[in-house]
Amino acid sequence: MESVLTVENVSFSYRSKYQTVNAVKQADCSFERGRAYAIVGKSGSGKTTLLSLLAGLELPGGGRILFDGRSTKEMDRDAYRRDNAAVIYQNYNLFPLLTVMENVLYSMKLKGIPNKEARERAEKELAAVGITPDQFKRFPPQLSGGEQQRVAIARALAAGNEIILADEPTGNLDEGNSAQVVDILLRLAHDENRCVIIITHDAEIAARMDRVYTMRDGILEGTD
Amino acid sequence: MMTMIFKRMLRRPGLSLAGLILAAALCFVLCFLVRYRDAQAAQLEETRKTYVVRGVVTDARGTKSNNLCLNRMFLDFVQDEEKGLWPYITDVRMIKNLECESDLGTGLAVGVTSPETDRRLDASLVGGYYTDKADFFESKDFCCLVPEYAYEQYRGGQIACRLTNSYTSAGLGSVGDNNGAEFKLDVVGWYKGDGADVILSFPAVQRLGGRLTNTVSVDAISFALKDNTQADLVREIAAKEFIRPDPSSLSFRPALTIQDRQYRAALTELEQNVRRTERLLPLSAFLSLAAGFFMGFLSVRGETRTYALMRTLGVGAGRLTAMVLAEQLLLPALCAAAVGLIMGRPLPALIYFACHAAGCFLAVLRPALAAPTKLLRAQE
Ligand SMILES: Nc1ncnc2c1ncn2[C@@H]1O[C@H](COP(=O)(O)OP(=O)(O)OP(=O)(O)O)[C@@H](O)[C@H]1O
Ligand SMILES: [Mg+2]
Repeated sequence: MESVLTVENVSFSYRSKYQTVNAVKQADCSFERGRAYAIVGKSGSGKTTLLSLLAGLELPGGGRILFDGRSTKEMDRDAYRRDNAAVIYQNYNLFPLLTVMENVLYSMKLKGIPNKEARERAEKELAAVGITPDQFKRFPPQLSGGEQQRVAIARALAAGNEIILADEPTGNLDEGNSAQVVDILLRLAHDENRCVIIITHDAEIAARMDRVYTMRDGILEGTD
Repeated sequence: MMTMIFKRMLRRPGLSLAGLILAAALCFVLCFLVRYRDAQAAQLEETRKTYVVRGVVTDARGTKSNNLCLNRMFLDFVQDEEKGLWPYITDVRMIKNLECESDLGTGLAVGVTSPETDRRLDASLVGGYYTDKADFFESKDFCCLVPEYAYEQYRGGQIACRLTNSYTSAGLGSVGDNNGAEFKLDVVGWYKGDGADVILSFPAVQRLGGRLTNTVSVDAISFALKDNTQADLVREIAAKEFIRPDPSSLSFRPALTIQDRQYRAALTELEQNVRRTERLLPLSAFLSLAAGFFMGFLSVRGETRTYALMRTLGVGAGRLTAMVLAEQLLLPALCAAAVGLIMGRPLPALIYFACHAAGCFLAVLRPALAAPTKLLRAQE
């Protein structure tokens, strides 16, 4: 199968005046369409950093990341996030002043998806992650952490991007919801030919993915 | 996208309203100051143009301004277009008196150049008059106004007056011997007063004076300056014939007083006001513009997290800038437009708006250009 994201010898450090943190020291891997991946590892091992690199939110210090053969350094990374890669953040990152529905609609409006279609997709995805219609008009701060997390997932799924990058998407979910979310993500990969990459601490969830990478102190190791 | 912007704005009405009021207040302060400065400058200009400064001929001591018995040399000097005062003055008022005995008693035949020359005629003071002769003040005809009480008696007829010119020095000419002759004057109106004086036009009295003694003289002269800024020039020219009034003077020469002290005081005060405002204006303008700038800056800065979020969802730098400016500048723009129109000072309002916008723009550079993850982390 073709590789959609290729990580070539990537390293990344956070630099500040006072110190330099080598968050990712060495990462080499590739991600394909139609498959689901898990990245596991201890806290602070550099998982979120790698995800930011994959999302084009940061640029690698060394090496390169290719999306369909093009380096993230050279492409329009805003357009890439808008049209190709959807990110689900560890801390949800919802707009506090927009309702649940509006939050989900937002990324679709950015892509220019017509109102009616956007609304249908939003309703479908929200329902899929277990958000009830009476919650559509609430604001994120009026939801529980798990509900906010599910809204964030729905927002990423509704956008319809082919790469889904999720940072601990099930971190705040109970077993039932978390299984449901994992089902959805796996179905997207296998049925809709998308590339799903999730970071998780949950060994069971990792085991359900097609492939698992382990982050060890900034070094990415592949385990099949 | 615009609807999302409006929704976000409406969902924090307190914040939007506070920002709006603050922006309006700052903009108002700026417009107000400019308007205040303009009003003061206009008042100064108005005073310069419309304040009437008069010059009055008096005796050497400056104590009396009527019955001066000035010979024709002074009259000529005032009326001289080349070497005299004529080019600089306007609304010239002159009086020539003759002694007059009539059935009304012993009084004066007063020749005046205009109703304002004699307070008994001047309706803006306590006087007033009526005449059925339209060109009364310009005419050389021997007609007169009698006191109000005598008008019924003489209306349409004549009054016999024995006239004596007290000015008898002829200068170069020969003195006529008609002094004390009787003239019949047409009664063409009345003035408010109850003495024995009759009032004639200045030219008519000059003509009568000529008939009586073959002399020309004048008893009172006053005038207004055409241009108030020329007061010193007029003083200088007048110094050829007139002295400055001096209470202890024993001189027989007449003096000229240009009554511009009040005018100068008023002008000085207005000029001080303008200067004070102009000194105040840059500082306060700077303060309100700086405040506008910071308001714009802080209002965008406070939303950095939201804007960083938008970046992570794929809003490009240019689009973000446009959206942020639309969101943050809509209300201030309305505000500045309203204040500018209401205050009638669109330019300062525009400048205020520009500063506010510049503040917003500076603050939006960070979310637009910096890595969004860095911003989100920093905001947590
Ligand atoms: N902005 C930053 N500046 C400096 N160091 C940072 C910054 N962000 C993260 N780090 C450091 O980089 C390393 C990797 O961080 P990262 O967030 O990628 O870990 P993680 O694997 O996602 O951890 P967790 O499982 O707790 O989310 C950590 O040691 C962290 O302290
Ligand atoms: Mg993390």
